[in-house]
Amino acid sequence: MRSLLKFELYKIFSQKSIWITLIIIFLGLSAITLSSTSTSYGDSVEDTVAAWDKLEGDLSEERISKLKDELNKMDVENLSSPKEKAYGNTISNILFEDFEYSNFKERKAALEQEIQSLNNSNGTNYEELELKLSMLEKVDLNTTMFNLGPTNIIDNLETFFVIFTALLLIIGLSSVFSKETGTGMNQIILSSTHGRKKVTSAKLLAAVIYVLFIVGIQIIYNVGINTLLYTGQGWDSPLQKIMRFNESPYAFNLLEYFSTQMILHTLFSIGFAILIILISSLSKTSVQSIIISSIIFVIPLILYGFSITNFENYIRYGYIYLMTVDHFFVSFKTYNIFGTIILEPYVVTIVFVLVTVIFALLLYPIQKKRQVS
Amino acid sequence: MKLSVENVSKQFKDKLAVNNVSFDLTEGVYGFLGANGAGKTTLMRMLVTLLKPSSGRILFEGKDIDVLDDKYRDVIGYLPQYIGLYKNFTAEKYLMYIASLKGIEKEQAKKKVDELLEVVNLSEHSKRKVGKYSGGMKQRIGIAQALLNDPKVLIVDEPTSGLDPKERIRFRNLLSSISKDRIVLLSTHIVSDIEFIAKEIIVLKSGQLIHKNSPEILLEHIKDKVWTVTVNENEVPNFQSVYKVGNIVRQNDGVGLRIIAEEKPDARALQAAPNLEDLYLYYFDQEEIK
Repeated sequence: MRSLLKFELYKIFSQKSIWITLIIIFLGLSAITLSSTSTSYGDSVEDTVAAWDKLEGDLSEERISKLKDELNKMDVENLSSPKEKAYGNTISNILFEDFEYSNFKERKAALEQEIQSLNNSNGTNYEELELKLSMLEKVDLNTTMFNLGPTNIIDNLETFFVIFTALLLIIGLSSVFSKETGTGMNQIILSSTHGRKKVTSAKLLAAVIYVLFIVGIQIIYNVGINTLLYTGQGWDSPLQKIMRFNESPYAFNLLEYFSTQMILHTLFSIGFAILIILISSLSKTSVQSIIISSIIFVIPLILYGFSITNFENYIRYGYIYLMTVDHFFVSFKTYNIFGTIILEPYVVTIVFVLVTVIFALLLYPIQKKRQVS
Repeated sequence: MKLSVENVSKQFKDKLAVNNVSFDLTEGVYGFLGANGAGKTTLMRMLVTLLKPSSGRILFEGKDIDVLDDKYRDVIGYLPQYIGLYKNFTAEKYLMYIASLKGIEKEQAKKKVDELLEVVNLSEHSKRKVGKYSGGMKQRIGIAQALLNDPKVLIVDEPTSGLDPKERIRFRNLLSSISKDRIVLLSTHIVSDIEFIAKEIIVLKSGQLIHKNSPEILLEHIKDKVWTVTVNENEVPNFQSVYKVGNIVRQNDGVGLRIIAEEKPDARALQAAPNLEDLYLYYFDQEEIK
C-alpha cells in the first residue's frame, strides 16, 4: 500500500501544470501584496503600528471621551507629517470600533428584551435566542489593538485562496483516473492484483496528502508574507473586529478563528478533491473531468451573480462557499434536528463529511465493476 | 492447472462479439487465430477480468474468476494489444509501479525488474523515460510487465507486433521456455510466432469457436487443399479472383502461386504440404485478412 501511495503521489506531483500554476499564483499574489503595503487609509505600516502602540487598550467611556477630544483638537485636514496622519487615522479607527461596540451592546440588549417577551416559553425560537445570547455573552469587544496582519490573513482565504485551492485541485486531480483510461494504462491496472481496491485507496490517500500540501503552502505563504509586512500583532483580537463578522455570535479571537477556518477549509477541500476523483473515474478524458469539476465549483457563483434567488438557500452549500468557510460564521444560523438546536457549522460539517465518505466509498464499486471495452 | 471457458458470450449493444464459446486450457502455449473483429481481444479481456461475460462463466481451477476476484488477478499476466505507459516514468520506475500493483515486495520487485529488463534486452535503457522509447522497446517493456509476477496464466495480445525478427525469435523462445508449468495464450496475426511453440491452436471466426486442436491435427484438415502452380503473369488476376491465393513468387519461368482450394485449381497444379499460414487463409476470407 505504501509503495502504491508513493507512486500515486509521484503521478500527481510530477504534473508540470501544477508547478507552473503554483509559480504563477505566488508571483502574482506577491506582486499584488507588495504593491499595496499600507493601511486602508494609505498610512505606512510603521507609522500605524507606532500609533497603535500608544493607543491600544480598552474602550472605556473615559478613554473614548479623551480620544474624541484629542481628535477634535487635531486639524485633521492639515496634518503635516505621515506620523500625525497615521495617529489621527488610528484614533478614527478606534472611535469606529467603539461605535460598533455600542451597536453590539444595543443588539444584545434588544435580544435580551426579546427573550424576556417570550416569557420562558419552551418553543424552538426561545431556545435559539437563548443560545444566541449565551454565545454573545462570551464575546468581549472592549479592547482594541492593531490587527491588520491577521485580518489580511483571514481575508485572503475568501479573496484569493479558495479559487487557488480549487484551481490546483482541479488541475492536479482531474486526471487521476481519466488519464489511465486515455493512455490505456487502465487495462494493465485493472487486470492486476491490487488494481481495483488498493489502488483506489492509494489514490484517495494521495489526494488527501495533495490537499494538505496545497493548504499547507498557502498557510505558510499567507502567514509568512503578512507577518513580514504587517507584524504578527493582533491575533488576540475578537473576530467581530473584522468588519464582515461584526454581527457574528462566535466568541473566537483571530487565532482561534483562523485555526477553525483552516481546519474546515482543509476538510471541505478534501471533500472537493474526492468529488473531482469521483468525476475523473466516470470521465473518459481529463478534459471532460476538468470541465465538469469546474462547472460544479463555479455554478453557485454564477447563480449568485445572476441573482437567481430561487436557489439562494442551496447556493451557500456549494463547494465554493463551503471552502470559503466564512459564510457559516458571519451570522447566527441553526438547525432543529429532532428537537435539538444545533449551530449551522456543526450541521454542515457533519452532513458534508457523510456526503464525502459516500462519494469516497462509491469509488470502490465503480472500480470493481469497471470494464474496458 | 485448468482454465475453463464455459458457454461464454459477450454482447455489445447490437453486436455479439463472442458467441457461446467453450474450451479448456491447461499448461502449455495456445495460439489464438482469428481475423480482425473475430472476438479474440474481447475473449482475452474476459479472461483477464477487464470484461464480464454477458452469459457463461470462466473458471480457474474450478472456481469462477469473478468470485476469485483479486486471487485470480494475482496469478495472471496480461499484455494488451496497445500497451499503456506513463510517458514520464523511466522503464525501471514503470516496472516497479506495476510490481506494486501486483503486490510484489519492494526488494523482490527490484530483483525481478532487473532480471526482466535483461530478458527483454532493455537493461541499458532502464533509466530512460518510456515516452522516448521506440514502438518495439515499448512492446518489450510490455512483455516485461506481464511477466513480473511469474504468472500462472499469461495472456498476450499481439505481443510481437513492432518487434524486429531477432526480438520475435527471442520472445517466442522465452514463451516456449516458461510454458512448461503455466498456461500461455497468445493471439497473433504472425502465424510463424505460434507455428512451432503452440500446443494447440484456437480458431475463432465471427465470435464463434471453429477449432481447437494441435497444429498437426488442424493441418490434417487441409492436407488435400493446398496447391502450388507456376503460371504466366497475365493469369495471376484470374486465379486471385477465383481462389484464395497465398504466396506469389516471381520465378524464371513465370509466377509461382500457392493456392488454397477444395479441388485441383489447374491441370498444372501440384499438391503441397500445408502450413499454418495456409490454415489461416483457408478459414478467413481475403477481405478479412486485409
